[in-house]
Parts: sequence; structure tokens; C-alpha cells
Amino acid sequence: MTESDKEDRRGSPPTRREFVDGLLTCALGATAIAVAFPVAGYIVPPDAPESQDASVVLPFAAEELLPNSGRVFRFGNEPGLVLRTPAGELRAFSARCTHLSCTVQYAPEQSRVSCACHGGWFDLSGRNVAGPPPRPLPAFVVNLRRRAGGEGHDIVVSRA
Amino acid sequence: MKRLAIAALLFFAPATSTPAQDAAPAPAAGASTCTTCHADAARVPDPAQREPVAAFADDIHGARGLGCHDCHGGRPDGDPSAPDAVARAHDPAAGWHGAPAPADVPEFCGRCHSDASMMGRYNPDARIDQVAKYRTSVHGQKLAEGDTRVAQCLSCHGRHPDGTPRALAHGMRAVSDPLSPVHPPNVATTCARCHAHAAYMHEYGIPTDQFADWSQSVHAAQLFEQDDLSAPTCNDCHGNHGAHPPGVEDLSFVCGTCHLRQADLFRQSTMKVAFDEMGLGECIVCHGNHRIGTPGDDMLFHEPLPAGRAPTACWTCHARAEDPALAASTRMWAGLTGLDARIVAAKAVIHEAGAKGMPVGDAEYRLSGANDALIEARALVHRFVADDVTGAVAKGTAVADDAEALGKSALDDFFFRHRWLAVSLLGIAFVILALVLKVRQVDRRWRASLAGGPRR
Amino acid sequence: MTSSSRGPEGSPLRRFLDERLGLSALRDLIGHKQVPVHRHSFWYYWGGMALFLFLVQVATGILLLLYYRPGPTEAWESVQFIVTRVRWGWLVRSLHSISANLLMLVVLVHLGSVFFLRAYRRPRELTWVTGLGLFFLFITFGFSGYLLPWNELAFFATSVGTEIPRAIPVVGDFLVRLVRGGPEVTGATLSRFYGLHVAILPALTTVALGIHLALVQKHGMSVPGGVREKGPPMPFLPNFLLRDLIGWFAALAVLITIIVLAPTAPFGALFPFDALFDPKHLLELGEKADPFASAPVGIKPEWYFLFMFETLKALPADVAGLEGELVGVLAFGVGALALFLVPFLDRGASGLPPSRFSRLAGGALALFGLAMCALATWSMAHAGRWLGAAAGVAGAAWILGALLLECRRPPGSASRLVPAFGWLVVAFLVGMTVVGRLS
Repeated sequence: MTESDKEDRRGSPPTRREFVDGLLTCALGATAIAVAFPVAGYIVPPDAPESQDASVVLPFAAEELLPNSGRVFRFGNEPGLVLRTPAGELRAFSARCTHLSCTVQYAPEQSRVSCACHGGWFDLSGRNVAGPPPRPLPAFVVNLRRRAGGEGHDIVVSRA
Repeated sequence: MKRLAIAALLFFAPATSTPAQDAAPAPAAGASTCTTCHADAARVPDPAQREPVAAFADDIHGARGLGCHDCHGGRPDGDPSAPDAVARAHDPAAGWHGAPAPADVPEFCGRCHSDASMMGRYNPDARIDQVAKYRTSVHGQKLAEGDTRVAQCLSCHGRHPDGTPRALAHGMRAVSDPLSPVHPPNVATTCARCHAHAAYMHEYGIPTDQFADWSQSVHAAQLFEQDDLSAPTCNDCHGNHGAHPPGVEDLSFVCGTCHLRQADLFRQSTMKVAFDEMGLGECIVCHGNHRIGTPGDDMLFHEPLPAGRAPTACWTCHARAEDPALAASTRMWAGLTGLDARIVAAKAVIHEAGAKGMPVGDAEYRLSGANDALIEARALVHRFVADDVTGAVAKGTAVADDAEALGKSALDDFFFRHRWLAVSLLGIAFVILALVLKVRQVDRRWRASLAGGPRR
Repeated sequence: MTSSSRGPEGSPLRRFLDERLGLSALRDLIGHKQVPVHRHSFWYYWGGMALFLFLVQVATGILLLLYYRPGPTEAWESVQFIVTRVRWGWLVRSLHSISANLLMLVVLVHLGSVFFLRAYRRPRELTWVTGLGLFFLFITFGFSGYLLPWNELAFFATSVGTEIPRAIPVVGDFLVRLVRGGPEVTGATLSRFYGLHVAILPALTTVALGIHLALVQKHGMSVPGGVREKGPPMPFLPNFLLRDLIGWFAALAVLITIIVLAPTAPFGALFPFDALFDPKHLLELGEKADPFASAPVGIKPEWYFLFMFETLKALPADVAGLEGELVGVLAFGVGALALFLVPFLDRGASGLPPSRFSRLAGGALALFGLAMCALATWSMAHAGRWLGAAAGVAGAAWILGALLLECRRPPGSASRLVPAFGWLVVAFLVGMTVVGRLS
């Protein structure tokens, strides 16, 4: 169609050609959006930007963990225990008891890690010191990272 | 003295004799008159008298620098070829007392091993109560009564080159040495030398099936298959030097050295009172003493009573159908097996979602809490109060339900993809339709242009 | 856009770009491209389809690169992360995986159609050569990419596959070490394959593809000999391209259907795919590779390698003093070389009399083919596999028959020798793939 034809036709119902062209434009445009939308979603990093299997940032600040206390956290698919010794040092272990995989907890009165299921005890280095557990708790590596823009430090726990 | 020597000769019966010992005298490190003569076949023709020299090379006492005279007395110096060499070396005035008789062995060893200052030189932390404890044991008491067939120091710590109950003294190893007869994995075999020997034990009237039973237990499996040296073997329950079977009322303390929680719970229960009155041996009534297997929920006394299966220990007292114990026990059994089934079902849902590629970490993590609850509930059985168990079961069931819900939502996400597929296919169909229409249109124009008409 | 600002060349933007980039020349080039219309025109679509699927691979590959981490401690976890945590990650990864397979299929069809329609004749010999180069590049893409998720299946398939060059005398061990980055398949292999897959091969492919497309553009579409055109050729823009697009969207529909439906149980019942092409193992990540575990039972390479795998399995350990595997590797080497030489062997297709080279090489290849058939017959019979022996005999008969017909061919008529060999090769490849699939 020439330009003058187009001007002549302004105001009249669309020709078959314009209809087909319009349809095709719609279709291809929809395709473009249908591709761009997932791609955009893909590129935006997920909430947990890295695989949680190798390393995890704990959901509470290092300063919230007082000396002679411990907290269970989630590491990948298993529980972990982070504790601060009475002397103030941060340590982290797998919280899966080496006896029958119960979740252990920190016992402040004894300054040791206990497993309530069958009365197993671990010392502050994870060594099995009493009760049925046959092996020490596997230890994790603990690092501190200053919080960006906020106060305090993040605790970053990674596998040894 | 001569009788003692003969007794020693008879006691230390000839073992395997090595040709090396029959050859020229072996000059050993720390050689003395003792080793020079006792390694020489010409001077000491009896192989049993020469055997200690070679064996002592592996002995822990030898490794610590002790010599023959430190235990046997006498003089280790002097010229072996002098005419009075034997008399000089074997001089009672110099403290020589040869090899001890079996009944005297504990005292012989105890001269050093019960002496704090002596042991403190070599190991400041060493125990010195072995002989004292031994005298309280069944072995010690019988030895004091004159029974020389019972175990004394050498029986367990000595060497048994041909596997018989008779032991050789030289070549003793530390307990931590894997070749020692009392290294944890070897302890049961050592005790079994006598205690599994039906003929040897006949006059004592006690069973000889303990070793066979224990070998099939979970404790043996833990020791041998999982290499857990802390797994209980004979001495952990019976004691080693003060060995005796635990008293009936003390069993929960013995088992409770490892199984703290269950023992505590049991001692709080009414079962303890009843068992003590009846003289029943606490833990072993249900779990056995030597052939201890993995416990299961089916050990509980429950309805429907399993047909064709051996009745549990509960039957012995609670055989009446109207016994309230049956109802309580059935409640516990139902709770435990129910929670187990819930966990299995939740696991199946989670697994299905995982197999379809959905993220199930959340669900799995939540489910581990249900496992904790199940273990807690199983421990609580030992107080024999049904409400305790059902309470823990209820907590665990809530967690398992949670986990299953998370698994289900992962599956739902998966099926979202099916809806996405349907929409996308519709969209593609629409695009193809538009393309087809356009193709027809441009084809028409093209054919028209070929026919010579103006391109529009 | 008012009409007053439009000049004869179009909108201001177009004029701007054209003055600086010379776009109008490009437009003329493509605008003048024409596609012949005849009863074999259907086969013209496959090249463009391969290009489309390759572009899908590039796009999804680049997206995967945003999250993938090479290295034995992170690769599997990162793919797991993409598939479970990244939004639409499952789609991107599955597209990459399934589209790779579809691309191999399409490339094989394209290769086959070009071969049997003899589109390689003069002056398109170099198009054929670059195309074949692309074919081998794509195979290498497939082989290197397969290892990248570092899962059990891929690890063992790669171990088996990289063992093959060892059969080559003198340089065999060195080649294996070169390919693996070490004596065994390890993280070093992963690094090497990653570099191959995302850098080296894309660079080589860009060059080869550029030349290939430029040559296609230069020489236009080849019309098979003796075929009558049904009228004037169709303009590429927009007629043929629109048809291309229909095909591409249809391929997209097939891809996403496989991706979503394959993991669900009734898929195998609805489609016969499972027998020949099992998509589930491409979509499920499986277990992480453990180099110290033993290989799972029944490990098999991807379907486009099955023919090689089965052949090497079927060869006896000793062939006339040579190691069986070596004979297999040599045979495939000769086969690949023969493929490259096809335009120069089939001089009749270009209307030329046979040259000394084509006669010698062709004769050698015929003898080689007969020897291979004889070997197959003998070793299959020896192993009691009578179907295989019969196939060997049939192959030899086919070659002899083709040679006989060639000798008796009236002068001036087209030689059918090359397509005859082609059919034999196709039968062999399809047969061995089916055997591999069913065993």
C-alpha cells in the first residue's frame, strides 16, 4: 500500500491485510512478552541468592548470641547448632546427634551440648563425652561479616 | 624352689618353638646374663624356658626398659660362662623367685601394679586398684579358695598362641594395642576362652552361651561393623578386674551408664518397684542380657495380639485380657506405629515432589522434627505411662502433618507447570494461526505480482 | 510519524542507520534471496530449524551461565539451585537439555537430506565441508555439555566415552590425557569441558556458521538434479521466512510439551518416545557424581553416540592381530573422512567424469566397506548372533549389488553409487542405535 492509499483509507474499517498484520503483530508481541517475562524473572536473583548446601547466613545477628548460649539454625536440609562459648568464641556444628540423628541443644548450666533423646553429651568442641553418641558432631566453619548498611555482624556458617 | 620351677615348667607348656631360638644365642638389646643363657639352646635345652626371650621383645614391660630381674629378681649381670653363673643369677638372696604359681600371679603383678609411686613413674594416671578389685571378683574369690582354673592376670593379659585357656606371660601388650587380648574388640573372645568352653565350665554350673548370644547383639554389631570402640562388651557390664554379674536391682544403673534417659524413666516407673519385689532383672526382662537386639514398637503388648508370634515378656504377668496394662500398652503401640506411618507417608509425598524436581528442602527439614518426636516418644515408653507417649506422639504428628503439607504444596507447584503448558500451547497455536493467515496473504500477493499486476 | 518527514528511503531512523551501517545493502541481499519450489522443497526448512534450535541453545546457555558454577564441589549444587530455587530455572535448564537433543536430530535430518538430494555438488563443496564441520562441533558441544551438571550418569558416560581414544596406537594414551585433563575424569576434566563448551566451541561455531550461511547466501538453494520446479522460486522474505517461523513455533511447542509432560507417568504410554528417546533422564538431575563409587549398571551414552558404543561393544577383542577397539576407532575415522570427501568422490553429481582420485578413493572405500561387512559377519557368527551375521551379509550384498549396477550403468546416466553407500550407512547407524536402545 502506498502512503496516499493509507491516507485515503483513514477512518474506514480495516482491510483484511491490516487485520492479518495486526493479528500477527499481536501474536509476535505476545510471544516477545511471554519470553521476556520469564527471562526477567530468571535474571532477578532468588531470595536466597546462593545454594544453601555449602554455606548459609544465619537469620540473627552475631551480637544477639550471648556467651554461654546456643541456637539451632537451618543449614540446607539439616539442623545446625551455633553456640558462643563462655569465653565468647563462636562455634558451629551439625545439630544431628551422631547416635540416632535427634536434634541436639545447648545446655547452659553445663556449658555442654546435650541430646535429649538418650542423654548424649558433647563438649564445646563437639566431642562426644558421655552417653550413647559414638562420634563427635561434625564441625562447621564460622565467619563473621559486617552487615551492609545495618549494625552488627552476620554469622556465615559453611561446611568444613 | 625346684617344685616351683617344675610347676612353672608345667604351667608354661611348650608352645610353638621357633628355629631361630634353637640356633645361636640372639644378642638382644639390653642383653643380660638372663637372655644370654635363656636364648642359647645349648645352655637351656627346654624350649619353654627359651620362649620368653624372643616374646619379650614385643612386651610392653620390655618396651619400658624393664628386664627379667625386675619381675623375677636375681642378678642380670655377671659372666654366663662362669661355673657359678646359674647360682649367681638365680640367687634368692638377690630376690630371685622364679615364675609364680597361678594362685600367686595377682600378688606377683601387684608388687608393681598396686604400687602408686612405682606406677606413677611410668604413667602418672595409672590405676592401682586392679588387684584389690580382682580380689572382690568371682575369679578372685575362687582363686583365694584354691581354684587355680579361674582367670587371673595372665589369663586375660597374657598371650594365647594356640587359643587355649592357658596363657603365656611374656609378650604382653597394652590395652590400646589392637593385638592385646583385652583390646575392646578382642575382650569378648578372651572371656569366651573359658566362658564359652562347655567342658571347662562344667563344674561351675553357669551357661556357656553368652558369647554366642552377644555376638549376635546390636552391641557386637556396633563394635565390629561400626568400629565403635565404646560399644559395650563383657567388661562394660560385668566389670573387668572386679568382674561379677550385676545385681538384679542394679541393672538399670549398668545399662544406664549409656542409656541414661531410659534408665532414669524406668526408675521413675511403677515397673521398677514391681520388678524389684519379684527379683526380676529390670532392663533384661524385655531386652535380654547378651543377645540384645534392636528394639521395635512390636515389643509393646498390644491388641490385636499378633498371631503366631512369640508373646512378649509382658505376657508373663499381664496375660489377662482385662488387665489395664493391655489397654495402656496398646495405646502406646498405636501411637508409635501411627506416628511412624505418618512420617513414612509424609516422606513419600516429599520424595515424589523431589523426584519431579521441586525444591523440598523446607519439607525435609520440618520432617526431621517429627523424627525427633518419634524417638522421644519411644524413650518415654520406659515410664510405662500411656499419656506420656501419646503426648509426644501428638506433637510429632503435628510436625509430620506440617511437613507433608509442605511437600504437597511443592507438588502443587509442579502441577502449575501443567497449566502453564496449556496456556503456552494455546498462545503458540494463536501465533501459528496468525502466521498461517499471513502466509496465505503474502502468497496471494506474490502470485498476483507474478501474473503481472501492480504490487499493492 | 508524519508523511512530510518520510523520505524515499523511509523513516529518519532508517536513513540514519543506513548511512552509517549500510543496512540497505543488507536488505537488498536478503531481499533478493529466493527459494525454489518443487516436490523436495520440504527439506529446505531443516537448515533453518537447526539454526533456530542453535539460537535457543545459545540463549538458554547464556542464561544458565548466570548461575552455573564449574568445579566438582559446586557444579551439581549450582544446577540443583537453578532447577529448584531460580524462578523459571527449571524451564531454562530443561529447554537447554531437551533442545540439544532435538538439535542433534534436526542436524542429522538436514545432513541426510543434503546428502541424498546431493546439494553438495559443485559449487557447494565448501558449504558441505563447513556444514560437516558444524556437525562435529555440535557433537562436541553435546559431549562436553553433558558432563557439566556433574551427575552420576554424566560422569560415567564421560569416563566411558573418553576411554575410546586410548585404542589409537602411539598417541592414544596422550590423547586421553589431553581430553581428560589428566589420567582420570576429575574436576580438571570438568574445567576443560567447560572452557570448551562456553568459549572454544562457540568461537569456532561462529566462524564456521558464518562461512556456512554466507556460502548458502552466495550460492542460493540447490535444486536436486532432474527435479522440475513448480513455477518461479518463492521470495525468501517474507514468504519462506514466515513458513520457517511456523516451523520454529511448532518446534517450540514440541519442546515445552516434552519438558512438562515427560516427568509425569503416563507420558511414556502416550508417546513411543520412551523406546527410542527417554527424556526423563535429561530432565532429572539425579545423584551427584562420586568418582569412587562403582559405575551404575547399564550405563549408556546419549542416543546419538549409541551407534559407536554398540559397535565397539560388538567388535571382538582381536581382529587379525589388531585390537578390536582400534579397528572400530579406525573405521569411524575412515567414515568421517569419507563424509568430508563426498563432494569430491561423487563427481557424477557435479556432471564431471570420475577423476583418478575419486576412482582410487572410491574403490578403497568400497573395499573397506566390504571388509567391514565381512568382519561383522564373521564376528557376529562367531558370537552366535545370527541376526547380526545376516546383517553383515546383507551389507556386503548391498555393496556388491551397488558396484554391479554401477558397472552396468548406461553411460550418461546418473551414478547412484554414493547414495547407495549412503543408505547403507544410514541403515547401519539406525540399526546400531536401535540395538543400543533396546538392549
